[in-house]
Amino acid sequence: MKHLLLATALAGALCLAGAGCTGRDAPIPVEPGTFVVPGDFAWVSTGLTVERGRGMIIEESAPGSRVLVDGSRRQAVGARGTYLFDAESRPYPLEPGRAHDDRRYPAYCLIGRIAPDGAPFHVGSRFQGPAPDSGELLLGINDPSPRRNRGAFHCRISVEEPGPVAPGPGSEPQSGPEPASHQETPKPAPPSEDEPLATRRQPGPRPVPDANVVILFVDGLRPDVVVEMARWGHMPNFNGLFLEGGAWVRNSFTVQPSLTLTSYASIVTGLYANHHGVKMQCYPDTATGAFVEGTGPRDFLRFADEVGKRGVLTVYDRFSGRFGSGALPFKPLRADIMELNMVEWLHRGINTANYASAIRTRMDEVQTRFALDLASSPKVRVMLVWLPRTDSSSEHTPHGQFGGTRATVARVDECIGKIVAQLKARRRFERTYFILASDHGHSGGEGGEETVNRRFDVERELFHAHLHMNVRSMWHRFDFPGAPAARLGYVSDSDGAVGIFLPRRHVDSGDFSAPGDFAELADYELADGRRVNAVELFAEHSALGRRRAKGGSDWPVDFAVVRVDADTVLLHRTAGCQALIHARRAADGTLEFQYRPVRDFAPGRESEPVASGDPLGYLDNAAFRAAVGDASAWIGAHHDGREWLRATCDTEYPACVDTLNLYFRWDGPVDAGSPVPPQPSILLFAAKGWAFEPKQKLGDRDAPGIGSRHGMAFREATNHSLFISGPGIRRGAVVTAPHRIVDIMPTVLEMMGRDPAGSGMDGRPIREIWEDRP
Amino acid sequence: MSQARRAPHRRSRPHPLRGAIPTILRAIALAALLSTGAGCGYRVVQPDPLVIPTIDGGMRVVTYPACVVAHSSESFWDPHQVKDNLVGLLEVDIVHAVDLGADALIPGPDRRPVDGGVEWLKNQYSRLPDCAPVRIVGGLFGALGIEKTTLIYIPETIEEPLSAGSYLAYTRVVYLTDWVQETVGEVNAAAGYLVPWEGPFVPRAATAPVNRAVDWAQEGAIKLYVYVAHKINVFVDEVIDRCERAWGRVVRVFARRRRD
Repeated sequence: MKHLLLATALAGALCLAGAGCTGRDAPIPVEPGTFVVPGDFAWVSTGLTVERGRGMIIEESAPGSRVLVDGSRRQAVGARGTYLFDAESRPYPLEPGRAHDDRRYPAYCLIGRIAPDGAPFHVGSRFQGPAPDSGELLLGINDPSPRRNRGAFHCRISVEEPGPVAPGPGSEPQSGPEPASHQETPKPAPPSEDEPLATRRQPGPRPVPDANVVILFVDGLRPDVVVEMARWGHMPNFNGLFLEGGAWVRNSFTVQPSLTLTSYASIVTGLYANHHGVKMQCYPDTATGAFVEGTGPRDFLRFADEVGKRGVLTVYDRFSGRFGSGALPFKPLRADIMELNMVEWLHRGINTANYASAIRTRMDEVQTRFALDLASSPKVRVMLVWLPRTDSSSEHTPHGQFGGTRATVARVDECIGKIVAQLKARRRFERTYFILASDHGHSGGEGGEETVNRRFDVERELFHAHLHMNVRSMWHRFDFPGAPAARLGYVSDSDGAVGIFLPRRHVDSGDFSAPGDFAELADYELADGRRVNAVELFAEHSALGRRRAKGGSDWPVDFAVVRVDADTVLLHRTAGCQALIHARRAADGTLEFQYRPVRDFAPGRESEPVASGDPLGYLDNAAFRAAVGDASAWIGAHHDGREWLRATCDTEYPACVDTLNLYFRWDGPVDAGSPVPPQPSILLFAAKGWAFEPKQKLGDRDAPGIGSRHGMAFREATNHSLFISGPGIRRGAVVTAPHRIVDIMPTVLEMMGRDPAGSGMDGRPIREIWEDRP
Repeated sequence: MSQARRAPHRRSRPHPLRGAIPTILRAIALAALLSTGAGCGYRVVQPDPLVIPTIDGGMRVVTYPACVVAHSSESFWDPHQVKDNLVGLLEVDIVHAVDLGADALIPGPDRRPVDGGVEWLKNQYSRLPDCAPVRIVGGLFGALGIEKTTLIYIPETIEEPLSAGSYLAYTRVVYLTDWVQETVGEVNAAAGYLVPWEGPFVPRAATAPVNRAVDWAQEGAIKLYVYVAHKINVFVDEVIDRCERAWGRVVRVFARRRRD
């Protein structure tokens, strides 16, 4: 109480002292001066009354002031709070319904509420937005047990003149999930026609000579999350390097499905799946009968070997002898990349994580420590640092990156800081381009409690219940009681997209020589002689029968995709909501795609045109219509991938049409030495709020819980992080032009002074990032 | 012949830590046995029954047999992890050991002062003017990797730096070979200024095949090393998997009897 009185008196004195200090153009302070918010009280009254909807600014006035949590100097925090330690066992006041280690908002930050019974809101080091209610403003600390804290936050409070609020730099959009929109920085004026030709510079990328490129591959990092955390002050290195010092390619999308190995393969090759052939993380090897697990210790060399045998050039081929990396999702055993590094990497790993089995839980630290070694080597000019913990942490945290994963993301910032510091120490920083990219987004947790993902058990609910088949997935083999041992199907993965491998024509055929097409799957024979439409079954059924048709919108499967012929795939949401995606070669050899919504598709039967209610929702989407004009006429024609990207960029399913079709193609070499990519019969995508994972896994004693996931086709899972900085790169810019993940590799080539034209890549260099744009 | 070689052994007195090594190894082996035993825990999982519709419109309940799960990838005491950690013990280096002690004494987050100090020294050295002597000396220290000397092999490393037991002897040989190649190249380039012809003292046409042969031998040796290490690791993991499955069957028999 004594502290409260002292604080109130001090605040009052300061208010009086600061009176009349404001300019006319600045927001008018309600009570000019500084308020002191003691760290050992849950709430203190500011004595101010605010009106609902009135613009309000609360900002930390003395950034040096700290609260010592539990009185410990090791636990000093400013008003922004922290994600880096958590001394509590109870939920935090800002998120009372969540576990203390699954919070979106930082611990021990400054928080506010209107009236003693109002809902708390996040303030941090700065809040700008309308007051959520009318009444007395209280401020406090986001700490469930503040009694033992020492110190105080100091802040200023002001209200704005009525009218639209223009957020200033570094301001936050009222603690909402969407970050404040950047305005694209104005383009420099084109050179005047009167300007002498001799003085005109040729516009375009002008990379520095002898450049280095550091690719920070943060697995699964959502761009909106990292930007929000940076705005709240928890990513200072990221903020300085990329948000203020570089360019954000905001509308960049990964390939379909948004799974790690497929997306990573597109990053390092600049190609789509029809050219690099990495389509699944797990698949049955029809030659040996083994189940290949791409990320497991036994098969971790296999994917890189296969990519190499297909004649595909990757980043380590293009910069042979100058490329360095630690562990990667897949990489070959080659002396200039991994063989020697593997021994050294393991040594660094154990001496960073303290013991071998801790390496995987401290993988980001280990990779960063090894990256410091690489950054010290002048031979290494292109470096790829994979930081996988954001993805793995998201997958086992209920609210993913809107929950407990934030601590992991905050530590990624420390990793960035260490690598930058090492490059500066070695005097390489000024010639280094940095690319921070994730391979995909993540879905789950963003909307609060209701968007925590649920499991859909494909193995039991579909294979067992309807096909009476045994099934092998990445977890283990799930045997159906009474089924013959040889009656076996496969499921490729456990995320938001799974490949279904069915034996051809009949559950007992055991024939996996090629994936079944729609005609086969639509007339699939069961053991008892019945025939089912397997596509419809996987897309619309659960153990209890057909569910979707009963009208429930809360359905785990978004849609299924299946091959119709060599150039066409069928996208099936329900029988009445389907689309055909057809590919053809244009005169210049590029592929063009047509998206044709249909109903009750049957091969050889002409289906009536559909003007509304297509499976990807394009026909009813205002953004799509705005982009293409006459939507029905536009989709009646074929368009290349870039045109589809531009047309669908602002829809719920961006950049899907071409990549779904390409996924089912193989346009690489077909000979004895070139392994043909494994192709599932059906590609199944999860709907929002769902992930494909067995409800009970029997392969592990301590199966972790489910968190946010990726692999899905919709925006949250496919919009990936892409931030670029370096000499000649625009600073503080947001590139809104749409791009794809395959554009990263051509951009790297350009940074290293090479011409990506003629490199054979599907991607194109990102030119909008350069100060001298063409 | 071998007796004759052994007789004039240069070690007049054993290293003080040498006698302790067998004891340390025995302690590790004991810990391994105990931890492997601890890893034999199990969990009996009874999958939920599955209710499915039948052709005649009814419902059928499919019950699954109980499953004994012996493997636990998350547990520190899982035999796979125990194996990895025991092998990993051989990799703990002296710098890390000292840092662990220092961080235990210094309040606050881990600072790893010795590792940081070594990096600082390296960074300062890298700022010296780029010339052949600086490159040669830096390359030698980089190839030796003295700071990576492992704790368990300190005595051997001091006495015989390239013995099979010293840290990463294999890779050190490769790095030192690289260093020799580069140093000879530097000397050859410098000697080139003393002769009337252009380029190095020994023309590149003569040195290139030798360098290629050395590189080829290095790559082959390392490839073999990593390949064998990988195969051994996979083999040991498979043995452990089989043991876990056998252990699961044993438990299942007892669990069934108990239920009966």
